[in-house]
Amino acid sequence: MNTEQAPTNRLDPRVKTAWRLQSGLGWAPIVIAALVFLGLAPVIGMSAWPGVITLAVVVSLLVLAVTIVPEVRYRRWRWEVRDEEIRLQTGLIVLELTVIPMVRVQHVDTAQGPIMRALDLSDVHIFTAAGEHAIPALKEADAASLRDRIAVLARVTDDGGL
Amino acid sequence: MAASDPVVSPAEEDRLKRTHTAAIVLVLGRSSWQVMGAGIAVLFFSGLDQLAVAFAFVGLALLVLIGGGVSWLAWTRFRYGIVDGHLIIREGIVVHRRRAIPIGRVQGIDIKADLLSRMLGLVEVTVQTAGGGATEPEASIVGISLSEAESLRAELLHDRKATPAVSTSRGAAPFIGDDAVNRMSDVRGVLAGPELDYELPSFQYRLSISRLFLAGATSSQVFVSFFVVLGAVGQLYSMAGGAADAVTSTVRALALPVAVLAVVAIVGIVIAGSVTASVIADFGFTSRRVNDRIETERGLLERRMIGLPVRRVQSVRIEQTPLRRLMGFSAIHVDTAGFGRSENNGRARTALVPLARRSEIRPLLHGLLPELEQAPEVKPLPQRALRRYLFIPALVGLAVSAVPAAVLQGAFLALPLVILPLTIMSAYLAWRAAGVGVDGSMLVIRSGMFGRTHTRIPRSRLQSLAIRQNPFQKRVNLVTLVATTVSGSSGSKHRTRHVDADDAWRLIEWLARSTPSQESETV
Repeated sequence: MNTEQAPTNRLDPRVKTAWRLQSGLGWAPIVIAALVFLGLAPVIGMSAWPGVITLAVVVSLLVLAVTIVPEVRYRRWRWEVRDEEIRLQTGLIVLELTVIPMVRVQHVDTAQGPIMRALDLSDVHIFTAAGEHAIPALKEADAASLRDRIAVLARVTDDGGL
Repeated sequence: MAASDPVVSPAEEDRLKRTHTAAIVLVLGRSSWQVMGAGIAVLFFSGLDQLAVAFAFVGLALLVLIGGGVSWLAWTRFRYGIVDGHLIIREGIVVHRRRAIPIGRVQGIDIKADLLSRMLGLVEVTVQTAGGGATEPEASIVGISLSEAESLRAELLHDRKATPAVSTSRGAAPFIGDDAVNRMSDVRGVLAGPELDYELPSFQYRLSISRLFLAGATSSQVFVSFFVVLGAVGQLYSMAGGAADAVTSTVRALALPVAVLAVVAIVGIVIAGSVTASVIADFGFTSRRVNDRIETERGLLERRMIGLPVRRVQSVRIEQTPLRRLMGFSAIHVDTAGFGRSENNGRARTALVPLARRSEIRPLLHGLLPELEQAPEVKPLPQRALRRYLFIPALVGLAVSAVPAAVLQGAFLALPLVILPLTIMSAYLAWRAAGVGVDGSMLVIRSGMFGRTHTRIPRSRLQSLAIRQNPFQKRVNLVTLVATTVSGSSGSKHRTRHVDADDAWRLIEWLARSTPSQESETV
């Protein structure tokens, strides 16, 4: 995609840690289930192979999700809030750039889950009449000031379009 | 009642109205249709013996009595009226409920009359509110006279700017004469009350009888039912064919023409049925522009009048089914925001014109919705996009057909020769149909295969615009364009694959450049 046009700002680098934790926790139940199965298989007289294969696949996916994926996502994630529009660029393999005109923003808020709170990070959620967009993982103070800035910009240009 | 309810002032009590007494009959009538249906079904299955008939009659009488009592109670409780800028509705037999809807939040008024109501000349009014439908039920008033409903509508829809009725009656409205369609579309029954003088529409469109039938015959519904019947018959025939293996070939030879005739007859009947259904639904279709709202009206038996504010219109779709495209006809629909009307899975789409020639679209939109008459020229996709359109369908088609061909051999070897051209042709047609265009403050997106859909979106209604690029697209400078608008209570995405990347970037800049001052020029 056109690199000169790419939005300028990156996320906080700690987002990689957050993503790693999230995908690790997400995969954990499957890993545990596979391990339990492996332990029980000889007892109930079943072949251990399904458990071994599942574990191998899950662990290799987990390694990918913890190493390369967060790094690439972080490098590709860009955002920029201009006076008249918000630009977001995301992607892993498929790169996507979204433009939201400021006049379409209905409201904006910040939110943080337990992992984000532990890392002092916060998401900014931007709502239009058609749905929600998010800028994940900014420093808490930055997120709050960005939220307020968008709120002001959106209010200034409010045309009551809907 | 008022004494036990401190919220309701005596003044309000005086200013609220009841619905018409005949509303009791209406409500009872509606519920007893179902009861009677159930009763008849029970009788039928019991084999009509005398005891059952007697029981059924007693039961029915009891039910009608109870039903009548309940609807009478409901009617005595029901009050509505406009007090201090609020529409007040009080209702409920056991749980008393009082709703106050600020007039400013009223977005549209729908008026509906089923057959029984039309005989009585009563209507049901549904009040559409901003954000209504999803979070709270729409307010509805059953069983008031049409003139009552019309004056309520006038009061609720900010018609205060309009000058109080000029002495021109509705009969003088343009394009409406005293023809058969007009008389059959009249909702005024015995109790309708006098015709009100009210605002004249600035434009009115009426679907002619011949167009009505043509619309029914060319709708996608007909297409669907045709193939459904054909599929079902084919299924039956193959089953029968399997069973008839023992029968001699002469009998089969004789049976074939009969079977063909039967299929033709069934297909004919089903198509006639779906055409009739569409004709009944769209009979006397009228749409008109009155100030800042559009009103549509349709139906042979049940008459529905929908009023929608132009402010709520998010996009216009000009749709051609394959058959209509061959004949040069289109239908015009609008998508609106925030209405609770749950047609098409929460999408609020309203027909504006069921059938129009290509040359008539612009004049019709000019009259009904000049805000969206602008028609940007569609730029077709580049030649190099065709390869991207063909690639995946061809691959999938090959995989799907090659596997059975390799495994089953025999006649299945011909499968790729059938499936591959089909997938390639449909991909080619999709490529030829797709396109995007922009002109001033309007975006148009074209899509289809055998048919065509043009979606026009004013810039001020575009919620966001996104471009996506995968590595394959990057090599040839193409992107996927996703425009998001609002439809009903949710977002609606319009995706166009493999657009020239430079064109897409120009669109991004076009959207980003829009300033508030430009906004006000548009809708």
